[in-house]
Formats: sequence, C-alpha cells, structure tokens
Amino acid sequence: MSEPSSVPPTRRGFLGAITVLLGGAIAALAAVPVLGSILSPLRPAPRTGNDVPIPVGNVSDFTVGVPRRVELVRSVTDAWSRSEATTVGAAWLTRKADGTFTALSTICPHLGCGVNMDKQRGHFACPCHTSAFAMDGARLEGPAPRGMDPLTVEVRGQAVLVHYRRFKQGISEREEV
Amino acid sequence: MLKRFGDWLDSRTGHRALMHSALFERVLGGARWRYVFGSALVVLILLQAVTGIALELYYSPSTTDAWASVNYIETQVQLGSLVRGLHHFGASAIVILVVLHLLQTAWAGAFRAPREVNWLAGFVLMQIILALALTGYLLPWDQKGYWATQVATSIAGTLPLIGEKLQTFLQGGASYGNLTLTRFHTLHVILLPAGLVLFLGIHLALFRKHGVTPPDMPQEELERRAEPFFPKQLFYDTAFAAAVVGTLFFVAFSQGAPLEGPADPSSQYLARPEWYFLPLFQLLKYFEGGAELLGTVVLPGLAMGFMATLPFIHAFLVRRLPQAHRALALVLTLGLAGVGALGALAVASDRKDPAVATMAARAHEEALEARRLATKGVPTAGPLELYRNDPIVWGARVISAQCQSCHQACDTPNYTGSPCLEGYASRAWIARFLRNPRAPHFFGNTKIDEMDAYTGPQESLDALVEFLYSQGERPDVTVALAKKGEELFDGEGCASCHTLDGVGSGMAPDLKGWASHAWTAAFIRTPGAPRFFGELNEMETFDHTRLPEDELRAVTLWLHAQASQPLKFP
Repeated sequence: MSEPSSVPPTRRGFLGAITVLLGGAIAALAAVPVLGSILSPLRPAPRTGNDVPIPVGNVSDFTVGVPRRVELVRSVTDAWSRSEATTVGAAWLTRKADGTFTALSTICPHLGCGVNMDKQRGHFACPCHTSAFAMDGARLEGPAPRGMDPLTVEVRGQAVLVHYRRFKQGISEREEV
Repeated sequence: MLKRFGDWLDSRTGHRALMHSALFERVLGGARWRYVFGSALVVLILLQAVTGIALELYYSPSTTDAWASVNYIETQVQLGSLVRGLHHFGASAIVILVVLHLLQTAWAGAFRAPREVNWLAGFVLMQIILALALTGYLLPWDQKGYWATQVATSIAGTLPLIGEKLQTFLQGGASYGNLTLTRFHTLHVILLPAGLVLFLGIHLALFRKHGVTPPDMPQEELERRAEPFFPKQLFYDTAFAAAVVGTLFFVAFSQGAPLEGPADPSSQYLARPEWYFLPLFQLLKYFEGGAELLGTVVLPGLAMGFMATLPFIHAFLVRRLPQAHRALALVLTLGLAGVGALGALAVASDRKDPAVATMAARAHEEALEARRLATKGVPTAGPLELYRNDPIVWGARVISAQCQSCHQACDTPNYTGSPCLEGYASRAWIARFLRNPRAPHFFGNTKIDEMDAYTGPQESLDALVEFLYSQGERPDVTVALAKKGEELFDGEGCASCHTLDGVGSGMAPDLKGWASHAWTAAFIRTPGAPRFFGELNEMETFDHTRLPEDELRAVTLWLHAQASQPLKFP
C-alpha cells in the first residue's frame, strides 16, 4: 500500500511507528483498568465469618429415624449488601436413636439440583437426572459421582445447629468450595 | 503463510481496499491540528463504552442497592475507582471536546452546503451526549444525583399542557423511586447509546462523503497542498487523542470520581448540577414566578434551535452577505461565551456564599460517614439504614435535631447554651467542671450557681475525677485511684449536697451510676426528679412522645461514647 505523498518514505515510516505506539498506549490505558475491574472476582476472597453454626430447631422437633428438611437461615454479606436473615440452603436432618443427628446437604453432588425425599421407595431422589441415594446418603444409582454431602451437626442442650458448607459438584472427591 | 491468509481473507472481504481508502483518504489543503477534535471524540466515546460495560458488571439499579453497589465499585472492586473515575471525567472531557469540535467546524463554515445534513447529525449527537450526561449522574443515587436530577424532571413538569404527564412518565411515577432508576438506567445504557451509535454512523459516513471542510483557498491551492490521511493527519489525531486520554487517566487516578452520601429525601441538600449544566442552573435564578419557563425552556430552546437551523439561516443570509458564515460563527462563539459566563457566575456566587461552603462541608462529612459505615455491608433495606443502625451516628442526628436548641455545639463562639455535650463525662470534662462549674460551657448559662469550684490539690482532684468517671461503667477505670476518690467524696464536701444512694436528696443530682446508660436515660426522661436536679431543674422533660424509646437509646449511647472524645472548647 503506497500513495504519492509529500512526506518522504523514511519520515512516513517514523510517523507510522509513532502513531502505532501512541495508539497502543491509548488502548493500554483503557485496557488495564477495564480488564482489572472485570477480573476482580477472581482474586482470592477474604475469609468471612460464614462458618458459624446455624440453629435449625430443638431436638424434640425431630422424630427418631425420620428425615426432615430444614432451611438454613443466617446473616449474609453478598457483595455490597448485608442481610440479617437469608436462606442460604437446606439440609435433610435425621435424629438417631442415640440422640445424635446426621445431616445431608440437599444439593445433589452431580450438578447441583435440590434432592427430594422419595417416601414410597424410602430413599433420597434427585429430580433432575434421577440419581438416588440411601437414607445415609450413600449413592444408589444414577449419574451422581458420589454420595450426598454430609454436614456437621452440633447439639447444644436442646438446640440443634448445622455447620453449613458447600462442595464442588461433578467430582467423586468431596472438596469444599 | 501470513500473506496467503491475507490473500484469502481479502478475496472474501475486500478488507485491503477498505483499509486503503481509510488510510489514504485525501485531506484537501493538507493535514492540520485543528481537525483532531472529532477523532478524539470517537476515542473518548469508545472509552466511555468500555468503562461503562465494566461498571455495568457491578452496578445495580435499585434505590436500595444503587448507592451501595457504586460504593462497592469504589472500595472493593480491583481498579474500580479508576474505572469509575475515567467514566466520570470522560463525560466532562467529551463535553469540552464537543464544544471545541463545534467551534472548529463552525468557524470552518461546516454548516454550509453540501454538509447541512451532517451538521444536523452532529447537533443530534450533541443532544444525545447531553442526555447521557444528565441520565448518568442520577445512577449512583447519591445526594448530588438525586437532588440535581429532581430539578431537571421538575422543569419537565412545568411545561404547559403535557408537563405533569411528562414528568410522571420520566420518573416512572409521581415521585422518585425504583422506577426512576430503572428508566434512567435503560436510557443511559441502552436507548441513548443506541442512538449515539446510529447518529455517529451517519455523522462519520457523511464526513467520509464530503471530507474535511477545507480552509478558504482557491481550489488549485487546496489540491496542490492535499495530503493522504496517513501518515500526518492520522499521527496528529492519534497524538492528540493520546494526550487527552493520558490527561484523563491522570485526573481519574489522582482525583477519583466523587460519591456523595446516599440519596436522602428528608435532607436539606445543596443541589448543584454537574459543571456543564451550571449555566442552565444560573439562568433559572433570573426568572421569577410565571416567567420561569423563559429560563427553563424558551431561552435554551431558542439557543438550541439557532444551532440546529444554522445551515438554513446561512442559506437565507448568504444571498445578501457572502461572508455570512463568519458572522454566524461569531454569533455562535459569542453565544457559547455567554453560556460559559453564566456558568462562571454560578460558580462565583457559590464561592461568595459562606452558607454554601458550610453545606458542602457537611455533605462531604456525611458522605465520608456513610462510606465508613458501609464497609461492613449495606443493610438490604437500603443505605439510609446505615445511619439508623449506627446508634452513635443516629444519636448525633437526634441530638442536633432535639437538643441543640439549648445544648449548643461546643465550638460555638461566645457560648450561651446549657452545658455542652461533646466530650461529656470524659476525665478532662469532669476535671474542668470540678475546677470551674460556672464556666460558660458548664453551668455558666444556667440558674445553677450553688456548686462551689473545687480548689483542693491536683492529686485529690485526679482521684475524685477517677471516682466520678468510674460511675459511668467505663472499661478503663483505675480502680485504686477511684477508690481513693470515693474516700475523698465525703471529706471534700461533695456529700453535703450529692448523694450516692440512687435515691437523691433533691438538692443536687445523685451520683450513683452517674453518666452510665441507665442514669443518663433516666435523667433525660425526668430531669426534674428529686434524684436529679429537683427544684433546680431547668431542662425540659423528654417523655416517650417527644423522644421515642429507640431515639432515647441512640442519644444515650452517643452521650456515653463522648467520654472517650476530646473536648471541643478552649
């Protein structure tokens, strides 16, 4: 590409190079803050006080051997907003004969749907891709790579508290998010 | 390899011819620095687009979240403050460059045939840019955006016939709320940018069709001096754009975009628009009562109408006056100078007014306070809850509303109030009080003159101070010293009027638990009780109707917290 010009070829090359350089500088000045801000969520998140156990009721609210679904409600800071009571998830709680509890996260370890109770068959069933789990959470059938995720339950006097955690989906190991 | 790919692409797209025609477009009369404004505007508009997209990833258009999300951008998002600074000052830079571009093209006579339509497209672009500026600064939902935009929509409301409906339509209801934000947001990020792209396309296509408006020279001379766009003009354009973007970057980095406190419909805020709307703001001051429409709509409308119809005014005049385009450019320049002068007048009159400075300082303090409180997260009920959720901050507000008609601010000159409250019940406050209870900042302006100044030695004073201080449930009491003070209480004569039994004598306030939460709350409810000032009392009684329980609690907490604050009087 060339065209007759009053500017001699060497000077043309020089001006062209400077122009490209300056154009690059403009692009860089815009790109750094824009990309930096867009990628902001990839920075490691600061530890929040989100491992405080969540009260879900009294021991007497639960019948021995019958799983009951409880909603987990606690205060949440989400980006800029703070809420005193937000439902962050749910768990299937079963009271055992010895007074201890088992808790299973309702989030299916396959792809994260909410796991239901199939009362007729007497096991847990995921409505999305037909994974089934035994009452203790073990995988029975379907595409789920592992059993349901257990949560730690604490009993303080009469109060039942659940330590809520979320785990990565789609893998056979249990890895906390 | 690359060449083969280039050939393949060119045979499919013809991109080489396109590039060639872009780079080697002939600039009649040669490259000039004064042609740079238009391309710099394109660069700045692109910059607004990319920074706008970045901001949009974090912004939430609702009355409860908008301010909080913008504050989040400022404080939590990596480089967020810089992005917002670029977007904020970029808007100002665009307005400045629009004026320069307008003046340059006007003096070149670019409104003359055959460029009339392009002049009109440019005029529409200017309106869109001003509308973007106006809709943009409401979005943070801070005090400035909220109050300044109120003025704009109220002006729409004063229009004859359609005014009321138009205002309701713009606001999305009878008053400002979520629907106002969603409407302004939609305008700002979808409708106006779409219009901008459309008219920018027309503007650039027509510019390519007619080329730059060359200087007044014989045609041969223009041809002789003609140059291709590349390299010189492109270099000029790029160099100027780089200088503008560099300056913008520097200003955004060093200043940061302002964010006032969250919009508070109950506040008295000094509403001032962004600088580019100050001339309109100033104009409103000159038209009273029924003539208001002259300032708000008629005059600005006439000015804009003149600008839009310049090509046709010129076509009409040029038959009689061959140099009409110069005269018209002069009129336009003088008009813009007048607009600038109006803006300068607005700034000058604000500078002269000390009340403006005071209000601005207060607004600034409030903004800092809200942003400090927001570090722990903004309540889902909205940022105004920040004030209410912080008893100290809210207590200060209740105090200034309910108490300061008597208890003036401690730094008021020639203090004539009841005892001032800043630093109340701190060790310094108690010590000063015991040494001189009749000082103007204590009982000096009340009827109470029966308390004697304490004239004992400093160490006894220290002990008495520590004892009184210990009554207020303080965490940092020196127990031994307080004990010593308690032993001195009788001997130094305090007990001849004051009691320590929680019942009182009616002669002077009982000091058991003095300045504790419970004592202060009880005192505010019943200052005239025998346990407190009894018959000496001059303070008004604040019962449940005057000071609801939660306000009392806030005031009490604020007063209790004063013990760790410095005194604010000499």
